[in-house]
Amino acid sequence: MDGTVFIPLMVIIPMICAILVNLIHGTETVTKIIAWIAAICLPIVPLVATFGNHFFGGYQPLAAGNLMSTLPEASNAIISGTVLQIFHPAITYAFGPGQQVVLFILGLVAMCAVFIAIAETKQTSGVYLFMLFMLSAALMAFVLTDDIFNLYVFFEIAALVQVGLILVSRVRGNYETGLKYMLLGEIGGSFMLLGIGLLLGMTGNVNMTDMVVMIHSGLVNPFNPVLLFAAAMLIYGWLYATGLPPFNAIKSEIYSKGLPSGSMILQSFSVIGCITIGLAIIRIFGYLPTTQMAMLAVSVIAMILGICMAMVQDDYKRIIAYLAVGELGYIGVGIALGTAYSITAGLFQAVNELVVTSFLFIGFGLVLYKTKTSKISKLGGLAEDMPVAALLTVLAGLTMAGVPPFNVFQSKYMLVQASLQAGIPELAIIMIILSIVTFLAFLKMAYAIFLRPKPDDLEVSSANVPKTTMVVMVVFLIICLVIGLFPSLVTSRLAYMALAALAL
Amino acid sequence: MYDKLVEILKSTFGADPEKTLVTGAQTSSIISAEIVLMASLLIAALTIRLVSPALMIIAVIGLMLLFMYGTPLMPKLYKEHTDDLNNMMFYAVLTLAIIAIVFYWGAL
Amino acid sequence: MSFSIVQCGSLLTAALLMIIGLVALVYLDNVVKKIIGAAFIGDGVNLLLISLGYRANGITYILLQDMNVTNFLGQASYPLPFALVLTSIVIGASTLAVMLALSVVLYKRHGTLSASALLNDKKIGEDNNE
Repeated sequence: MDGTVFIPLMVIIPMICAILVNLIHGTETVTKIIAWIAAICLPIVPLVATFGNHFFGGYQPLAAGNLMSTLPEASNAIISGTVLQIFHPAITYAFGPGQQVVLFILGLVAMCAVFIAIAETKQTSGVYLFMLFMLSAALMAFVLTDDIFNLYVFFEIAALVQVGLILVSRVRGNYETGLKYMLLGEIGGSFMLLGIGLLLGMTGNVNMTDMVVMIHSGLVNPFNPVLLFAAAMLIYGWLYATGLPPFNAIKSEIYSKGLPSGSMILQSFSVIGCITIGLAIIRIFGYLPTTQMAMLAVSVIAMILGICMAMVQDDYKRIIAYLAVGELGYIGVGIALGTAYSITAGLFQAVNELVVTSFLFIGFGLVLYKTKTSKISKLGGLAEDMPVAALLTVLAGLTMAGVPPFNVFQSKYMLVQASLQAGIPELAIIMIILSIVTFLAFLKMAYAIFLRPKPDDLEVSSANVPKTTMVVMVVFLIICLVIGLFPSLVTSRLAYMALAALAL
Repeated sequence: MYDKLVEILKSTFGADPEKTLVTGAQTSSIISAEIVLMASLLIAALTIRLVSPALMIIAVIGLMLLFMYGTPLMPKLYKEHTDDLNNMMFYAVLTLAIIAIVFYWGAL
Repeated sequence: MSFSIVQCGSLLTAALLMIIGLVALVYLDNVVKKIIGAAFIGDGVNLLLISLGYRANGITYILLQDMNVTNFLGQASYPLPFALVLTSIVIGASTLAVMLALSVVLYKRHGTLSASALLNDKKIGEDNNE
């Protein structure tokens, strides 16, 4: 059997499962079983699939499938010898070693999110699981698709599901946040579609490989103002998807309104959106220095703002949210530098980010589970009540700050090297300074929540920490350690994805 | 300097000291955020040299003047970063305009 | 390529719709008006996409048995934007529905539709768990 049949299954399995759990949400055991099976499938399918392309409907490029002879004489005469031969007529999914790593880690995070959602809620909610699975399906499609309009469609689906995830969380103010996010999203999404439409008008295509061919073969003037405007609009869409400034406030707000399992998937959307749309921009507009400059500028501002804002907050959910936004700046820097090494470093940082931020959201989710408050000034002395969980959470914080031997140390080290190689040592200095400040922010949080004497009015519930959550945290810690000790396991594969983005 | 800062912080983060405790840890973290903001913005401004050295000098001098007369900046930044929709919408549209202008004039 | 007054007009309309939408989103205070403004932006983009596929005096892009292929290629309009706009309209409709539903819920809770009253969260850092 051809292993490429598994490529669309990565999107189809979570999507079908989402619809099923929504339909039968009344019967709890069946919902649980289906959710378990589909969740386990999420990380496994990318491992068994073979590398290659999947053409939906079997519509291959004419030249690749030797299909020219099947055409009528007259059209054959017109098409043969032109770029029309190599155009992709249908939606194409590309799956390579880089995509495999990203999808495996993403699947793992989604699986853990589903398990935690089942373990931590008293009554399993089919609707909530629907949101989780639908968002994972959209994210999987994000990484796989080579078609920029398909990317936009899944982007909008993901935006809708994100609002759904906030609405079901029953945190105060979630409806207001949802509406704000949708109104801002309408601007971001619509203008991204405008960019895609202008690209379509200029190149006659929605497939990214074909667009690159059109622009670099001289069929389209690469400095046409309309094309430049399309680049601007795509970058604007990238800002919205990633939550870089000016969207960092709303992003951190929606993180803090989700349940821990929901926040895990919400931050995965930002990370995956950052790398997929960022890579698409670099692929199509990599020849424009303005693109790189704009992306670099916004990423640096995001790093500085995110981490400075995190220092000032008093709500630990907001602190993690702002730090997560700041860390996305690192990925943006890696992608925007535009060399093969820096893009690999950016992707590596993204993979690590997926694990570490989820790890933190679960860890501090446990604090919330125990105390029902998210304000640091009201907390203290929790190390007594949950010693193991406290240790794991502190380790997660150290990982995010880039302490060796964990994975983020390796990727930040690569990013620093990449910026030195690119001739911008200032970026390296900023990244190092901000890592130190991240460390400081975590020390402050760890001291205030776990170590200092307990305030008198703090009530800690005696409910036990769910075992699933602890297992998931240990699994994440192991992943962090393994990737940190053997980074070449991941980077050697991600390098393929980086090179593919730079290939003409 | 420290006392002045604490006063400003108290007025920014809530006047009632019982409710919004401006503790030593909180104050010091805000001060460190302030210093990090200054240092990293100044270093980041140096990268403008890749676009044009003259612009970089103007930006660095402008930032220095801002830091001289504008400190402490963190409370102001915090106020600007509220969850107010009007605020967010303003910055979103502003960025849209800036990006469009940069790409229209910057890449010719 | 011939200049077409129809295409030019629809592109201008699209631009106007987008600008009106942005102005409505920024300046109007009523949440429902803001939502209508947001829908305007989406409609403007959809109109632009359709206009891209327009061709003056063009024919439908279906090749029948007895047609001359060269003539067909010279006259058929571009089909891809139409397919894309269909998807995009569906997405826009569902987004609009969710936004309106949210505004209904918010109106029932707070009894007002003013954005500056509803969406101005001053309770930062407060315990936000029910």
